[in-house]
Amino acid sequence: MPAGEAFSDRQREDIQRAIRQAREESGLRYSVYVGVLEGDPRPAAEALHGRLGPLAADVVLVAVDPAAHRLEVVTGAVAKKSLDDRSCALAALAMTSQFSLGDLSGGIVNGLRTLAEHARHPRTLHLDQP
Amino acid sequence: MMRPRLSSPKVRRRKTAVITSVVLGGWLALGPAGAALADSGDDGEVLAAPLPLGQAALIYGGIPLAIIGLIWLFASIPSMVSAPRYRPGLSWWANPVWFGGPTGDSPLESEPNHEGGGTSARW
Repeated sequence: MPAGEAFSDRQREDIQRAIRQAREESGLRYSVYVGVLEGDPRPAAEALHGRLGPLAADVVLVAVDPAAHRLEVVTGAVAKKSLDDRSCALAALAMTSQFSLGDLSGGIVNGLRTLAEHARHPRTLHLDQP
Repeated sequence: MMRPRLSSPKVRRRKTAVITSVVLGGWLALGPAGAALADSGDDGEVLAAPLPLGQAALIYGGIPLAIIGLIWLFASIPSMVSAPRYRPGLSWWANPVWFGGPTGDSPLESEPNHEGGGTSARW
């Protein structure tokens, strides 16, 4: 098949809005990659995460390889403190269940929402107390 | 005074027989049965010239094909108009997309030193 766009304009907007809302809700940065993860998917996804530069520690990367049917969620060193692996697995489950039905953008949007719901702000003394 | 006997049973029977034979005879002579009996093999039908082959092909081949094409078009319009859709059974065809990706030319870390976490899943 010839190469084309993975998402329609509307789907792109939905994903970008979900990224924005997730950031506002949880305070973490989110990044979504949809494409081929060359070689072993996990190191490939971690390499992508590393390419985000100095901000990478704050970033939660959702990497989807539709060809290999693989999903990788990579959390940075700082993001990991508010978003544990268990929450990532829960979000991954929400995403893959929709991916298997063919709804790629819907799965990503729901996954981001789940990640944001589970990412809690680190407690800040004197600020979180009323 | 004697009332004249207008119709005795015998006369009435004869009258019925005459009427029946006249009606039946007329019907046989003039009706379709009469025509059938008088058929000489020529029913007056004038046959047109046979349909040219091209025109016949157009009518019996072209019109059904046009209808099939129209139905196919109507059936495939929604998928043409709607968003590109990922189908789990088919291979992936699209270019990579990265939302919130690196801005500018971020150097690729030669050795990704990953201290974070995350998860892997497949479907």
